[in-house]
Amino acid sequence: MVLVALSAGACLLGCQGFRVCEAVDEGAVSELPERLSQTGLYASSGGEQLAPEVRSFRPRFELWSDGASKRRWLWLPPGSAIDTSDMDAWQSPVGTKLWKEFTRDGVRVETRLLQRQPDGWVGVAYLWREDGSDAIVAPYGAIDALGTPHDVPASNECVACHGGRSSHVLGFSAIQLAPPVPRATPGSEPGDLDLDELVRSGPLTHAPAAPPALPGDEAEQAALGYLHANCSHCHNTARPERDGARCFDPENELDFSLSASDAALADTNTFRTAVDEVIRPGRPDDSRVLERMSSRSRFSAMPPLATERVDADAVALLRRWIEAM
Amino acid sequence: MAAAKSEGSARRLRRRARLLTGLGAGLGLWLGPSPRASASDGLESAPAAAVEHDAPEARHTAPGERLSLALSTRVGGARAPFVTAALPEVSGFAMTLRGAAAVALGARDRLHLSAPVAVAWLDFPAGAMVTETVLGNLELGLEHRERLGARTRLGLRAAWLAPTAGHGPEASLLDNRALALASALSGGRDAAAWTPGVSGARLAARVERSVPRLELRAGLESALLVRLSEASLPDATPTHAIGALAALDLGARWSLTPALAATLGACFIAQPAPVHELARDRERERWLQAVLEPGLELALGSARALGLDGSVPVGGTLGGDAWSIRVSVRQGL
Repeated sequence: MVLVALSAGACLLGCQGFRVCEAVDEGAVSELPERLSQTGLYASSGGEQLAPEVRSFRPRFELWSDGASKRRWLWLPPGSAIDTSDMDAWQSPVGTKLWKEFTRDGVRVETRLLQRQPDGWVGVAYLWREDGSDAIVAPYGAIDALGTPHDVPASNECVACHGGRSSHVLGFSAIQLAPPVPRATPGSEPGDLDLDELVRSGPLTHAPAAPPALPGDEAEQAALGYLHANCSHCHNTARPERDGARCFDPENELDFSLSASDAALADTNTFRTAVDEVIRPGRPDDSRVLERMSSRSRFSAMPPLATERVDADAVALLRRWIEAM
Repeated sequence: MAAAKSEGSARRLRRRARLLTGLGAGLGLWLGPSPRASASDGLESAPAAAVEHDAPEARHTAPGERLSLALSTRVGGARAPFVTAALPEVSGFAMTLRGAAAVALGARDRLHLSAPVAVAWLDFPAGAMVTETVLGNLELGLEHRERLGARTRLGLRAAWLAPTAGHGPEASLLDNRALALASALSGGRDAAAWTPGVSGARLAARVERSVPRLELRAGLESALLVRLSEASLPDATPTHAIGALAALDLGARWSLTPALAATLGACFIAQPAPVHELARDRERERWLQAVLEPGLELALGSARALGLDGSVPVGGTLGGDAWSIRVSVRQGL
């Protein structure tokens, strides 16, 4: 009977086991400040002015977050540099901090902190108070935060996406900061940090000879960029080895990541691993990537985390791209 | 007069004979089978499915049975209200296990011990799951069975709940989430077993009446819980020193063959005084939960039984948000 029960449990988890992650590391989280205002993002407690040396940036291809608008900031320890010897996997120096603020339906809900520590990265979300005076650390996250449909991830869920890359940082890379950064789009700020400025100001150990130029036309770049930003943090073949729970580690060899060295469409990982597999040229209705993107079922949705709403614009974008292939 | 005296004496003798027969039958269950008891052993043996809910066994156990061991496991998924404002609900999959042992203290009395354990795969806000294993509240009780006529049986149990759920320095809010999920799987019917930081008493009575091929049951269960610790509940959680739970259990068991029976149960669970408040249900507008339990029972000889049933909460806070399947097995020794 125990075997029957275990079989049933295994059956339940058969297609859900990839979701299982380690529990919240309360010890690591407890070393982070309790309030966002204490993390070094702002110049003063209770203020909105950014601290000196904190720079905003905006990736070229954004992660879909159910329509939430986002702002992002970076702080590098003075005198430090990002190891860019691998242009596709930048390694941030110890002490690096990144923040990402989420506003949903006009409500500033949370600000996430990702911090490089000597023994690795730690991440946690800060849940904004209703009066907006500060945000409080929320290691276990929140459901439908501040009356919005927005769910705040728990600390252990950071690794679900960020753990899929050796860089741990997803939106701050050569591909994501190369022009054209959409400065004119809502949410971008004058003075956003980009690759040009990083090269000029010098915090890169190896400056690229030229900004990565993605192959393809604008529509193809948009489609490949969307897959890179929304799928490749899990679906890439260079995932770091990990002990413990599988935690959003795919069982297939699909790879949607873009590389700074991609020279032609056929070189891209998407074309090498996904086209003719889950992307059927000219046949969007037979393309599993579209089917999964169009679902929010627990058992078939892609991405399987951090979203409850289909990105209709992206589905349309990918459909047009596949039709035109 | 002499005739009347003789008739009265005969009635008394007949009554004594019936009483002795009843005692003999009762003792027969303990000391050895009577021909009549043996004839109906297949369906008379105690049900496996009673184990998980700790329903006192009104049905007779197999002849000569001095010890019974039972294991029940339930697998399912649920979305249930929880205690914190930031995480007002808990969801995921779980598997609960309940091991139980009963030792005969006499023809009609037994000492009963049960231990519930749950393995939960808890949903986290962004979509990850975390595995957590928790112990429920151990239960130690005394059970008494009585025949109320030829077709009616009564089972009574008084039990003490040991505070083993969510207790101790290692307990965490994650444990409490796993306990809430485990409780939701059975529609909150075993809430006393899965409530963290409490001890208490549990009283249960069950009456069964059988007619050919059909058996009807009605049971009443209640628990008085005393809070011993905050059990890692968030500081903002309103807790109460004393809590009470009650459940009315109604059911029917239809013998399809001498060994196979179909069952249908309906349970109505009330929490008039919870020991801690749930974030989204503090107004207690929906404090009554109904649960339907269709199932099958298979008697495997006189001392062994296997049960399979489902649990479907209807209405209440769990209506449409929980389901589970249970397998239970019982072995008399």
